[in-house]
Amino acid sequence: MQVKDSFDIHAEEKNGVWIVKVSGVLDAETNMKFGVFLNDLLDKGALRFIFDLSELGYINSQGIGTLVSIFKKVEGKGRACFLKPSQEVEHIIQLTGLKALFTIKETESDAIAFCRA
Amino acid sequence: MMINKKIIGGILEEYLKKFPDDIKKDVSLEVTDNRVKIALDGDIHSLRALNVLVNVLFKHIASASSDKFLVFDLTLAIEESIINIFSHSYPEHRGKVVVDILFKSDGIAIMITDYGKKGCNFNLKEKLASRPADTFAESGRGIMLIRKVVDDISYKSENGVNMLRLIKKIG
Repeated sequence: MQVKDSFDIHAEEKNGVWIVKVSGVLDAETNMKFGVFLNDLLDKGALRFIFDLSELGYINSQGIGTLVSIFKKVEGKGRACFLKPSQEVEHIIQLTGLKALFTIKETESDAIAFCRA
Repeated sequence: MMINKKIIGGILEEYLKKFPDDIKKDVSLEVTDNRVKIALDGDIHSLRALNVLVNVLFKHIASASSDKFLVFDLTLAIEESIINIFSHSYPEHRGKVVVDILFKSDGIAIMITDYGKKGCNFNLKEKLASRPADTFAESGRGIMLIRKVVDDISYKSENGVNMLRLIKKIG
């Protein structure tokens, strides 16, 4: 965990699916930016999301809550999944018992195929 | 489990110096034999400083444990506790919180103290006994996570002081 705002998020659209890469630390402070960023995408009509969490080293319950919110918002209208979550993310998914909600894919092509299905 | 107060104190002071002045002023540090006390008089924005300090501190003792998520779990437990305090104990979402970490031979005892509304932040008896009504709820997981990553948790409130005690066994 770093002193500076060690949080980076960027998104790109591929074949109608938004690939959102989140890296660094998702704590009480950075979760606010995370939520705003995602809501902006939703406002633009985004309904299919791949969350690349391979470089996310820390996430708390608020970060998980934001992700749950997105998954619920797209339910029935779009799709979302995780791409190669870090060990820490997998750990907290296990702790929260949310494995049933979060689909995990190991390759981008599989993730895109899932979201476009 | 022992800590070298000179080394640990020096490392934490160096990290604290890297924060901007408006954050640094909210945080104070005290390192004694086997004990680290971090006082935060701020809000969510100054919580990052505390997160970094505990994270650095626990990384230095992590080698004493085979638990690869020890650092993550302890940082999480402390952060979730303080988020709960700022959300419920302090109506203006800012106030004083003291994190007192004691390193013992068989583990770590963490005392988190606040001076806000009594019992409001941790209605432990009720909250620990239950899960969120909806597993897929968007919020309400903080206390559940704390319970899962520590070995023992207790809470008391007296004379305007609320104290949450977390125990993590090591080895």
